Amino acid sequence: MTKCHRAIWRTCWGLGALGLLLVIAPVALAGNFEVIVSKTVPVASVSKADLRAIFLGEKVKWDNSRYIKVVVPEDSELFKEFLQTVVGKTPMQFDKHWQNLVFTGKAAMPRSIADTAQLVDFVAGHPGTIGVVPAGKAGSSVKTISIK
Amino acid sequence: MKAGLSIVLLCVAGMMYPAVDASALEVEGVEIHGFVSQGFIQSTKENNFPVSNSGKGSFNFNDFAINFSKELTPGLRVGMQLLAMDRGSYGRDKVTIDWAYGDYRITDWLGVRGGKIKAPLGLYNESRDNDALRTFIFLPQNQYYEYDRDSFNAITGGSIYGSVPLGRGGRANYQVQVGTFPIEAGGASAKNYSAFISTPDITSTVTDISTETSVVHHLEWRPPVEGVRATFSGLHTSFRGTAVGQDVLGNSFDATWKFANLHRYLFGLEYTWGDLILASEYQLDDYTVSADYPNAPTQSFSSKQSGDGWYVSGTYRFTDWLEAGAYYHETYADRKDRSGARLVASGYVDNPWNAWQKDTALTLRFDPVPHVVFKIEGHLEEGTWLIAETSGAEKKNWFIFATKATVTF
Repeated sequence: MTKCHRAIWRTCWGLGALGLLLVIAPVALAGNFEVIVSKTVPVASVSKADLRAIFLGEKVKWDNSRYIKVVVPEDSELFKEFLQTVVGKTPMQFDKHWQNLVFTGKAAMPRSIADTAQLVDFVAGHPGTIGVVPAGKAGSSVKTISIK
Repeated sequence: MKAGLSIVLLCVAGMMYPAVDASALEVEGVEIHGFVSQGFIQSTKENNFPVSNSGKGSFNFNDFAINFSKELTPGLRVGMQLLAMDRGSYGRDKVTIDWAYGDYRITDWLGVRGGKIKAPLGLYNESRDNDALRTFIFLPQNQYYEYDRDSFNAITGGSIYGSVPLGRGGRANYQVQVGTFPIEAGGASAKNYSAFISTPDITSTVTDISTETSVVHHLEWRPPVEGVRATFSGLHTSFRGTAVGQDVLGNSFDATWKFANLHRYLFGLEYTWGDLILASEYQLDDYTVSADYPNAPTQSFSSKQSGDGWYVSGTYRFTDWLEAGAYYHETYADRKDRSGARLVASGYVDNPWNAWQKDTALTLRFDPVPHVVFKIEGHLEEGTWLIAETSGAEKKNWFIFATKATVTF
């Protein structure tokens, strides 16, 4: 094998590894958070596309016709990961998206709660609500749904 | 005086910042949000645009808004936004209703709205009033013309809208609106129309405007490719009115005028990759403008217009507090006469560069703390097509320098 061939081979391996990293990275990040809903929500899983639509205010109803309410954790690294992995936005882009809706009269800002326990309690007490918490922090008062 | 008031309001709003949160100002279930935005603008002395006295350097450059909204029952909302702005000869901080409507979202794919509703023309028209929601101070003017803000910014009527999943095709969001555009005779749009119907012999001032039933449609497609959204929007309207013309000797003449069959189409594409956002839009306008001067020693005229324009923009957020953006933008009075030669030959403009405008913009945006934004922006311009007020646009190559501070809550 000539030097040239080795260089090409190394480059291919490098690009392959980078591609693999890009593919598995979102899956790895998804393991750090859980999506929770109130127990009245009649789903066990939700597609990434639907989850994105919910957190952008586009999908507004569950299958049982109950309206969806979104609650978000305040200023958390975890939510940043969720936004980048699922919604495809940075926290600032997410804020701007909702401010766009607010300043055109289309929606209210999602409720923002800093404390995880309070966020879980809020979801548990409000039918139709969806939120994001660190993995393992959901407890039994809410339902954890998987991302298809 | 007005500039002083603006600065005081800006300071007051800034002091409010530690006490308020983006979602915290709520009274009896009514959410209240707003923004206060004050700027300074300086352009080349002879070319006063987009603020009518920018050639001298002007603080007549502000936007204030406050909105109130309430969810009455799940899915049913009502709200309104009051807006005041100053751009020198127009706006003048007069409070207007920016939007006010009731909104019932029946299901994901169908909702209805009635009232005064923001017109979704292009990627950014609905949110263009709020400076904090974008990188640039001035969006590309062909698509987001400052002299259209009191006309095609919001429609009074009804609309249906919704969001439809397309399976492997991504998701589509749509809006269809039917209504009229109430346009004030003393406003920015009227000044623009006055320039359109003036002739080499007679300078006209619009005195009354009425619009026919109009339609706006907007489709946003988000394909399964991460970060991509594409939009297609259309506006279909006609409007007419009266005007007073004056010749060089000071004689006055009544006139009637019409913009018939105005069809505007906008195609937009935006790509977001992390902190980088690239966008491009193309717009084309077709309409016939006519004016009739029954008792004046000038010829009535009717002219088919086929303008267009496009831009490419890029923004990048370096840190939580610093973002930079740039765009290049071209617009033409007649897309079949990009050199302007035919319009010069017909006497419609004096110079070829009066029939087009090319704009290179560079912006820095600073977010020192949440809810507070400072921007600084420069434009290098070539051509004067968009300068609506006919007085004194004498320079082919010119500049705009603008800076703006905004507080939102």
